[in-house]
Amino acid sequence: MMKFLASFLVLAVVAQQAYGDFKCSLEVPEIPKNWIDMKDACIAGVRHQIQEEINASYQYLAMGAYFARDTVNRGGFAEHFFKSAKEEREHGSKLVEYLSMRGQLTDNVSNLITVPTVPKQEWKDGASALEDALELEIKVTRSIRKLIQTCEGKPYNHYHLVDYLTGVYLEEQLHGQRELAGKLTTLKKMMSTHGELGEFLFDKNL
Amino acid sequence: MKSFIALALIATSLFAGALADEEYCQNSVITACSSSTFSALTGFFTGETNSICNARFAGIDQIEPEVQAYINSQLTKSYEYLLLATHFNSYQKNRPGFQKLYQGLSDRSFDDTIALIKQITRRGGIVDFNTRHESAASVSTQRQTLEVDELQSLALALDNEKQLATGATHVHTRASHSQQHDPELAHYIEENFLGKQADTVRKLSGYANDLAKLMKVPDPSLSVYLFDEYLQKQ
Repeated sequence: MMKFLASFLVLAVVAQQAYGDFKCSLEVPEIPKNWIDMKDACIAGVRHQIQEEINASYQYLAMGAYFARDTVNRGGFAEHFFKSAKEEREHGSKLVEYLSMRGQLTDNVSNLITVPTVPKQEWKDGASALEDALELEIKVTRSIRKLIQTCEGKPYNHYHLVDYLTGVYLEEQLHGQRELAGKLTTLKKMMSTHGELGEFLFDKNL
Repeated sequence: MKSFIALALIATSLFAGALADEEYCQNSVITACSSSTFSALTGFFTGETNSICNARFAGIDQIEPEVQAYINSQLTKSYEYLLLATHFNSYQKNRPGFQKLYQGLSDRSFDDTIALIKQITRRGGIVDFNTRHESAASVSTQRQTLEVDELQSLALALDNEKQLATGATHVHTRASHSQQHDPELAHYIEENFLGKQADTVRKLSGYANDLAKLMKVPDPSLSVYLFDEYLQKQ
């Protein structure tokens, strides 16, 4: 009996060594960290910008949902705004990837994006929605310019990020604003004399 | 007595007539067109009044809030998955396979959100992004901690997917078992969500169980590395 118990104990110990300690998290090894060189103010600015892009995406979704209503029935506008919502989300997501590339986001990921509410869910007509869209883009553009200033500031210049923000983000913002301004002008011209008919035709060609 | 019956009959027919007026878009148009003001017409078609001239039929009144809740659930989960993908994209995690898996789920939930918006508006419904309905199709906006290890992330994703599948099932149940049936919406959910969701749940359960088996070693780092490589190729 004693022998049996002892052998059982030995077995248990061996089993413990072979299969015990079910370890799920792997240790993070120490590696040089000097390559991680973004400064706090700039990081905070980028995090803020990410939320801005997501907020814009939500607002565009609400616009798309409004113009997709059966009693509103402006399918062209709806598709246009759904596309914009996707683009804004993409912008946010690319900035997230940028931070990861620069060695950030090893922690504090869960609170990077919060679920926003949308300030407006109904519009008077297509023109007022396009006007809001233009205002939204202006707001995002300003926010990017401010971010560039923060990250370009002395004593530390985030050359690469600033170049990326200028070359990719501002580029898209400025072209987007021009496009919206053009559309809004055309629509307003058509609506000033032809009202609903102007909007109807404009929507079908959007 | 006779005259009383006749009166009652007239009253009933008048009442039925009034009801019919409410139920047909044509009657709204006739009323609007016989009044000489333009505002009568615009009022009927801009949705400002409770016009009958809309796309609502069958059980839409009962299912609309459920679908609205479900739209918000998908959208919330889309961003949760985006952050989970981000977590595995850090240099310390460096798991491109896991990142790809969760980015894919995030994109899917976002696309499904837009598809659901199109579906609810197709049926004459509207979307409300700000109100959180108490519904089995809802998820909490309070984000759970996403800084988790590989195996736990699969468990988290599996739970998420089951929650989304339960939400879709709830919408389906309401569409098919409420007082007013809505076979169109039930069919839509079946065709575009339930089948796909069963596949995703099955896939994630397979991943979680596989990885758990592979990790039954003193140092699972190689197992996780190989599993990540496998995920990249999926």
